[in-house]
Amino acid sequence: MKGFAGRILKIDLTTGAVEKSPLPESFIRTYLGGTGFAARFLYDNVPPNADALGPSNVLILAPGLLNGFPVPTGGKVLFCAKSPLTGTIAESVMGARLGSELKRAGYDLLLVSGMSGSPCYIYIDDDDVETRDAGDLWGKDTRATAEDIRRTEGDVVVACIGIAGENLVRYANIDCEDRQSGRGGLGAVMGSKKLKAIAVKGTGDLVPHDADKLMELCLRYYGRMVESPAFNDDTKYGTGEFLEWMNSEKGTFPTRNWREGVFDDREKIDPYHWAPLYTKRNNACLACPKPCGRIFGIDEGKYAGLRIDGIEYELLYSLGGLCGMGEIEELARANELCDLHGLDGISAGAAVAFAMDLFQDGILTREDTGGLDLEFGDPEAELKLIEMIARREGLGDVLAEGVKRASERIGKGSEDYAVHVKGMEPPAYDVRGIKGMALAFMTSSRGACHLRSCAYALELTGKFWKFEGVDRFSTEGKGVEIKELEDMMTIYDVLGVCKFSRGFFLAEGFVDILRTVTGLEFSESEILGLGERVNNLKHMFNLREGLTRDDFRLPKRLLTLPIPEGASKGHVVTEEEMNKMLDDYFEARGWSKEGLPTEEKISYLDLD
Amino acid sequence: MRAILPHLELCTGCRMCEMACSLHHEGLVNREWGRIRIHRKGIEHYVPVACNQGASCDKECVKVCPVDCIRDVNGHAIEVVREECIGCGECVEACPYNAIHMRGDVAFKCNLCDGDPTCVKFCSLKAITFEDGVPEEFDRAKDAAEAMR
Repeated sequence: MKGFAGRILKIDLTTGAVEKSPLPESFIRTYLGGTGFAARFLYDNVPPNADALGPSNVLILAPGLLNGFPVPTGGKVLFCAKSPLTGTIAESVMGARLGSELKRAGYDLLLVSGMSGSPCYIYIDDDDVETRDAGDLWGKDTRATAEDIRRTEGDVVVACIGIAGENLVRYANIDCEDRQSGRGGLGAVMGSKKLKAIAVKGTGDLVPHDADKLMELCLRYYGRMVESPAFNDDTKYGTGEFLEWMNSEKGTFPTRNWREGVFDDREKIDPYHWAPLYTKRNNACLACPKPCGRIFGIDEGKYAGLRIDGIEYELLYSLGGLCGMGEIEELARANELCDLHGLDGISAGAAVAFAMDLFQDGILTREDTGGLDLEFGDPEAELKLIEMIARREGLGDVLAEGVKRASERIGKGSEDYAVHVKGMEPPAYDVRGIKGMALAFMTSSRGACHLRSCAYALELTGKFWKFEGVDRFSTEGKGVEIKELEDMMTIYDVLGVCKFSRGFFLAEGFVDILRTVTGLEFSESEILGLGERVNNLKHMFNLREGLTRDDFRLPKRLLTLPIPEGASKGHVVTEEEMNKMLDDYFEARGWSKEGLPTEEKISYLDLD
Repeated sequence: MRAILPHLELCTGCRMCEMACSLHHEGLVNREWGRIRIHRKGIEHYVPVACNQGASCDKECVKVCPVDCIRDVNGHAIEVVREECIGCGECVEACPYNAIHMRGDVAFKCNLCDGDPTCVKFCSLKAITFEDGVPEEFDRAKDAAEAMR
């Protein structure tokens, strides 16, 4: 089949066995690639109730179907496994060369099972696949690890973990060329397998079904993106471009552990302020002509020489506003620490903010913190605590478990301070003022997430795709809305297309692209149906792990503490609103009140 | 002579040029078939490298080719006439800019897509432009690429 490599690579780290098998034809049409393949293989290969940090968990590397082709912003690849943070499916997408390189090496999917006895890395050079000793790399940061491997192996693409993954921090991430599969603790899954890195080199051809037509389509979408009104601001200021809007106009920028929805030091962390001073140049994901990624550099002072990709909107929130910390160079340093140690910056910042909040209310004292004054806004305390988390030292060892488990261990009412859904610390949208997004946090298969649905954009602007006049404070119609958005956005993760391009393609655009790359004919409704199938399969995986309706709840703070100031002042999600939206969503999904898919639904989706 | 001129500070490393290049010339995508290639070092540097069409060299490839299959065919660019290439690799060795490549038993290089370079069409931040060659810029790119080895 054109557009596919046609093979699956399986590596068992316990036995060292390497198996190359043909990609089953029957999976192609039903799952296509990316998150579709990942969900199917996770469901089929991880036994129920497996230890996420044990040998029976399977780490899956799944390139998007379009990886390697010059379809603009089609360079997204994902890692997937059972999450050590949430116990659900974890998947996290990044815009790195890893996916196209794996396909060019001849594989549409990599499955890593078992557990190595000693630190190792996987080396893939087309048909040559080996596990190699990583004893010298263990303990090294992500950049040093990648550099060392490239020194030994030549021009390979390296994905690796830092010390956070080695130390099984439950939200450790996987880094590839300063891009991250950030969420859900996939780095800890690698760490548990003693797998320090995956190095890939591929030399094969990727052959499309219709090269001329593909060139025409690529040029068309490229033109639309480059000429779009957002091009200039996105490439100049990056994902934080709408920071002021989220604060001043919407009042939905979670601040000081969700005590507030507007950050008073917003100006200092707003890219309109700092980008002209610190941005060195743009740094694109593979195949992106409108890069929001930019290199942030500090040339003078105590952090002279610092270089990071960012600072992204989400980390301006988690390491900034959520900790009440507005010093931009300190924020950059915190970002760098997360990158080097391989920590998810969202969860790490949220864990620090959680601890600061407990310290402020006397639930944690200097005795608990090892003498550290954990004041909101104190950069030294924040940086120190991030180090302690990555190294699992003192209080850091507790916070490395994520806010849910940490609060269970700390007790003393700290559960009320732990903001999470299914154990996942949320991203930067104060959903008390964005009701549809509140539902999206609840329903996301990996725990609180903005990207399974991208509902924030529709909710905050009122229109997207087929929706118009959406009211962010209303709970009406949100069940159908989130269901439809989830199914649509899943296609982006199947094909490996950036969701910041969601307005350019939609199902309509993907019909032509799919035909041109693979020769397969899909209608728009078949494409959306595939998205629905994949979402149901992820949900079935979660159900098999014991997920119940209770796991869809919002945390207490978002249900009881209204936003105190700003454009969303007084808003909260009530228990009643939460239940109504969830009922509506389950109904839209064709699931029972308890969230169980009906037999008709399962059969309709070919999942039986 | 006009050529693909690199502007190092502007390259974002998106590699659209590499992918579009091989798609245009070979009908498939593979960096190994790219006439233009992006070199990367660490987080900070990307360098696009393509033939400067003699703007910055002495056309060593033309001189060393034992069968004279590297020449200006239609007034746009120096190219390798594939049907005549014997795959000896002399040109690859001779090129001071590492801008000629071999795959299988044929050599290939940038021919400016008959005067309308595909790669340039996909460079949104204009890190490569199609204009009169500036030798200093090619040399900066060459030095930067060599420093990455």
